[in-house]
Amino acid sequence: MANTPKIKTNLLLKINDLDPDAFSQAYDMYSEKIYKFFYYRTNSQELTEDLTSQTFLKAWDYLRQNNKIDHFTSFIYRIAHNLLVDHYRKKKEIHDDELMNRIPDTKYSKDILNETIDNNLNKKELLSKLDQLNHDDKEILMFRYVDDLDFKEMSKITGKSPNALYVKLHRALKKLKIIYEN
Amino acid sequence: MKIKQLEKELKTLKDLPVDRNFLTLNKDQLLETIYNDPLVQVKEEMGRKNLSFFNMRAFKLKAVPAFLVIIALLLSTGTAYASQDSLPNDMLYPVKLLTEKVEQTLTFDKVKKTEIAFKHAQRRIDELSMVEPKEITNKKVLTKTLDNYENNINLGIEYIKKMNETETTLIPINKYDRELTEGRKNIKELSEIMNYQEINEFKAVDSILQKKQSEYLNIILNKANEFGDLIPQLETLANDRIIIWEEELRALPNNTIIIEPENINLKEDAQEKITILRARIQNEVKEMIPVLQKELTTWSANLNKIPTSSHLENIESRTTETNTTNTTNPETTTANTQDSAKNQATDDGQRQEATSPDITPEQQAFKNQIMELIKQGDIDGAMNLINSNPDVNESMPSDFTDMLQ
Repeated sequence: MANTPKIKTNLLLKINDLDPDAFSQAYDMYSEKIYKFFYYRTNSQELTEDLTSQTFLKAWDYLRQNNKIDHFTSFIYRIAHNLLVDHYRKKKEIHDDELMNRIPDTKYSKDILNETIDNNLNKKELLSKLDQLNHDDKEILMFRYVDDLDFKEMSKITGKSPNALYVKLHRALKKLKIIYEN
Repeated sequence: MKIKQLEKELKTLKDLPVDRNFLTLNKDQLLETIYNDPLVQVKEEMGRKNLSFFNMRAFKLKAVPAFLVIIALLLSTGTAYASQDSLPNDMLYPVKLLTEKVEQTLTFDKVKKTEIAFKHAQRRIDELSMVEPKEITNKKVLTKTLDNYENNINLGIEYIKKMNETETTLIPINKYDRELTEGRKNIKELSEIMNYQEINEFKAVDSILQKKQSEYLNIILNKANEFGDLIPQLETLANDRIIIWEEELRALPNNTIIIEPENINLKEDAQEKITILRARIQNEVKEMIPVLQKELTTWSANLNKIPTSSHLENIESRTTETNTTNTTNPETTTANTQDSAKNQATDDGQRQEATSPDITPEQQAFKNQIMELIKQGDIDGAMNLINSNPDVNESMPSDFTDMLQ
C-alpha cells in the first residue's frame, strides 16, 4: 500500500541502537497512524492521546531493555493492540466492581473528531455498519483499509497466518456488503 | 454495493483529522524522556570521549559474543583501570559503571552475582559520601547514582529470589540485611549533608529501601519454609537487628516522648518490646521476624515524630509561662514538656482524647511482674498472670497488650 510508512534498514539499526534522532523520525512516520488506530477503536480523543503517548514510551522501554525490533510497523501496531486490550480489560474490571461507571462518559461524545464524523453522513453510516460486524472482522478491515497494513504485518500482530487473514478479510468484506444491502 | 466500492469507502476512513498540536507536544515530551534516559546520556558521554565505537548493547544484561570481546579489550585498557577511582561527577565514571556491568554479566553463579550487586550498591553510597555536595551541580548525576544504587539492590534481591536450596544456604543472610539497614542509615546521613532540593530524591530511595528490606525478609522466610533450616541464620539476623536497635536507643535522650498517637516514652517502650522479642526469638524466630520488622518500621516512624528543637523551645516557653504564673518548679525538662503539652491541649479544650491517662501504680506493678517473668524466659508464667488478672490486663495501654499478642 502506497501510504504505509516504511522504516529503512539503516534507520531501524539506529533505532535499535537507541538513537534518539532515529526514534524521533519513527515517531514522525507513525504517530498519526497510531493516533487514528486508537481513535477508531476507542471513539475518545482523550483516551486516544493517552494511549498514543503510551505506545511510543513502551516502544522505547522495549528497546532500552536490549530488545531488538525486526519490523517496526508490526512492532508498533502490536504494542498499540496490546495496550488497547489491556485498556478494555481494566475497564471491564472497573465496570465489574463499580456498576455506576457503566453510565457513558458524555465528554467523549463531545470531542472534535466525533463532530467531524457526525458531519459526514457516509462515514457515520459506514462506522455504524462496521460496528455490526464481530470484533475480529471489524479489526481486520480496519487493519487493512485504515491502518494500511499488509498481510505479513497483520500476521505478526495477530499471530494468524497471512493466508488465513486473506480469507478472513474477504469474508468480512462480504459480511459488510450484506449488512449494506439489508 | 460492490466489493470494490466498499473498499473505496473503507479507505475514506483514513481521512480522519488528527490533533497535530497534541502530536507535536507529545513528541517533545517523549524526546525529553529519551534524552534524560541514563543509557542515552552515558552513550553521549562515551561518544564525547571518542569511544563511540563502543556498542551500547554492552550496558545491557543479555550479553552477545561480540560484546564480550569488546569488553575484554576495554578491561585491559588503562581507561578502565583509571576509571575505578572515579566519582559520579567525573568524566570516567560511566566507564566505571560499564566495567561493573561487565563484572556482573560475566559472573554466572547467582550467589556471586548477588554479592556483586550488593558490593556495587555499597560503592554508590561510598562514592556519594566522597563527593562534595557543592560539586554535584548536575542533578542528573545524583539521580543516576541513586538509580544505580537502587537497581543493584533490586538485582541482588531478584537473584536471591531465584536461588535453589543449595544456593540459598550460601547466602550471607544477615550480612545483606545489615547492608540494607546500613544503606538506609547512610541515605539518611547523605540527605542531611545535601540539605537542599535533592532531599526528596533521598527520601524516595529510603522509602524504597524500607520496602525492599521487607521484601528481602519475606523471600528469606519463604525459603526457610520451603527448604527448612536457616533458623540459626535467622536468629543471628533478628538478634543483630535488635543490637542495632539498642544502639539507636542509646543515642536517644531518656525522656523522649511522642504525643501522637499516645503518650509514649520511646525509650522505655522500645526496651520493653526488645525484652519480649528477645525472649520469643529463641523459640519462634520465623514468626518473630515479621513482628520485629513491623516494630522497627513503627520505631523509625516514631523517631520522625520527635518534636524538632524549635518545637520544643516553643513548648518550653509555654511551660515557663505556666510555671511562672503558678509559681511552681521553673525547671523545664523533656518530661514536663509532656505535661505542658497535655495542659496546653486541655486548656485549648482540644486533643483531650489524643493523650492517654498515665499508668496507675496497680498497672505498673502488674506490668513489672510480667516483664520480670518474660526476662526470666517464663512465658507461660507471664501468660498465666495475665489470664488471672483480666481486669488489669484490659485496662493496660493498647501497645502493651498488642505486643503480648
